[in-house]
Amino acid sequence: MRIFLSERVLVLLVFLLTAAALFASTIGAEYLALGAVQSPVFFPRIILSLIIALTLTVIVQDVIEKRGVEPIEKWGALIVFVIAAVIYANIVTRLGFMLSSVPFSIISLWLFGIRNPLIIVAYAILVPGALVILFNHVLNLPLPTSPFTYLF
Amino acid sequence: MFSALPDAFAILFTFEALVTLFLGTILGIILGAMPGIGSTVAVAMVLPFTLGMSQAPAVLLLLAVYAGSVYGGSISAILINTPGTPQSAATCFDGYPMAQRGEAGKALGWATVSSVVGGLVSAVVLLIAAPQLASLALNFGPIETFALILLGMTCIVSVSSGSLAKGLLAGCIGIFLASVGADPITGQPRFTFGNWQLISGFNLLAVVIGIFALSEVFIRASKKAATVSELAEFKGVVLPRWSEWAGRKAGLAKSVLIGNVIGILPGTGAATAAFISYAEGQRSSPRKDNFGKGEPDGIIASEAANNAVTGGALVPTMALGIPGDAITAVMLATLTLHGITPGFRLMEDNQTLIAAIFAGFFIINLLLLPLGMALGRIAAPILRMKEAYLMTGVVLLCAVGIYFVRGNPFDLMVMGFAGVLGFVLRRQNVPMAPLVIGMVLGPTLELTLRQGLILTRGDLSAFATGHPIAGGLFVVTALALAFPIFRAVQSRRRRVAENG
Repeated sequence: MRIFLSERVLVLLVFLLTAAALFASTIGAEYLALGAVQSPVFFPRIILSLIIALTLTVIVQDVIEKRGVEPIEKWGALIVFVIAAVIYANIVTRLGFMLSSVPFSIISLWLFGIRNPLIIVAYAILVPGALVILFNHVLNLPLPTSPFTYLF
Repeated sequence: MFSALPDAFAILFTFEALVTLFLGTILGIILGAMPGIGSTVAVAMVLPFTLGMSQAPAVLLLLAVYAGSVYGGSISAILINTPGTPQSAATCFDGYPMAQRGEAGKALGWATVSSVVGGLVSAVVLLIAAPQLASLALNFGPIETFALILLGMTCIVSVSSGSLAKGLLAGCIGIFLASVGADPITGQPRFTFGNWQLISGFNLLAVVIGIFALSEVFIRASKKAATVSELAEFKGVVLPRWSEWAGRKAGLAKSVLIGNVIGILPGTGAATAAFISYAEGQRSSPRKDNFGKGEPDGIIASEAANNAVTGGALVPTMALGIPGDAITAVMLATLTLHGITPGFRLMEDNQTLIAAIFAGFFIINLLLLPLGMALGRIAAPILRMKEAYLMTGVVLLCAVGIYFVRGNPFDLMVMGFAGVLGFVLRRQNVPMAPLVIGMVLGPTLELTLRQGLILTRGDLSAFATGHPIAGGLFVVTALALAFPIFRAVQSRRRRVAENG
């Protein structure tokens, strides 16, 4: 029973259900009646069918061979880092490159084991600052700026 | 063309032209090495600076940045597993594993020499055979291109180490991700679910950087921190010795040929050439089993082909006025801005200028060798820093690079989620290379398949029977797929025989 609930099988089941749902969404969708080949879902349906068939094959393979995954050594650090990276990617255009990169750099350096606060703060300000100067003011390729000033 | 060379050299060997070649190549290498900037952005960045220049130096500056950026992409692909440009994605497969086992300098050496050879040959081909190659390109319709792309897709089989089913699954996921957005034929949105930002689809570079670079950072964050980067051994570019080329020259020649031929086909591009060449290299190399584990043949196949494309891509641009991709479209715009009208008459009416441009392109590729070595040496101390600084810097550079692709905040989100997807898939031992191959080749595969079916009124068999070039390519594809199965059956029989 445990093998059926392993991380591998669960991940593959998510893929299988997603592919099946995407395939189902093409059936009811309203597209211009242009014939099979001209239909926008002609090609994606073939690919989604292949994804479903291949995912089932991989699930069977993994269950038969009872393959496991490598354990994660630092769950907490990973979760915080992934959340920080995804939030950073979402706010960088709203808060500007500098204001979003400083807190992200502090979190990242801390999670990767740097404990000297002076080095953390210096890196978090100097590296994004250097990139802002290079792109915004030397190359004239403006990075996203903050709502407070056009300088960074 | 050759009679115009003396006058062309007079244009070329001026102070302005030589400084332009030198600085343009340096700038191209640096911009190409920055993840996400890419050749198109690099060429577009310098376009405004050409407006004050005369015709030849203006075009030469763009060519220098173009060729330099294609090579520069390999530096970050090898050293930090982050392709600076999409055309360097295939270089990651073998370049990064070599860097991980302390051979980063050697990997860069193979990439440098292969890039230079690929670029030089493409410059000669451009000079000699531009009109002839242009007419060959005109014979490639959608059916022939479909057959060519299908052949390229067979490299999924060769890069799927571990499980073929997982490799094929990753390839299909890549093709599907590329199909999200506006349908290439009708323009109707697919799988956008009311989100207008999805109409233009997932940006290729955002996905590539997410699944390669960001997922790598996630993996390192999940492990106990290493004090120093794994690239501590890297001290600079190490050129391969002549003896090390034994058994590799034929592969290099084949990759250069593939790059040149694919370069002249409009709409294919350097990334496609690199993957097709990688597949062919994997199929024909005597060291095929080492591909994906740090085999120099893989770097040669990818880098020689993607640099060979640079000359080939200029053929339809110059001779026909048809830009093959976004980069040559920017070049075409520059030519027009400078009063040069590309097309059949260009070669006849502007022989001196064209000869100067082609000869300048040859010099640019020669400059790649010393400049690549010098800039690689500068990269060494940067990459010898602590993992914490390097990984944080990688995320910041990825964000910068992705933002510059289209200036679209949505691409940054795509990069973030592609990083998570890459991390999850890599934990399940799903290879990432097929996903990228699917995303690169998928759109052309779909478009040419559907165009072909429309042309043949839905008759798939007419693809092979009515089109000899396509028929030949289908036979090669079938052999390419059958050969690994034949080898597997043979080795199984041998094992059974040995066990009695």
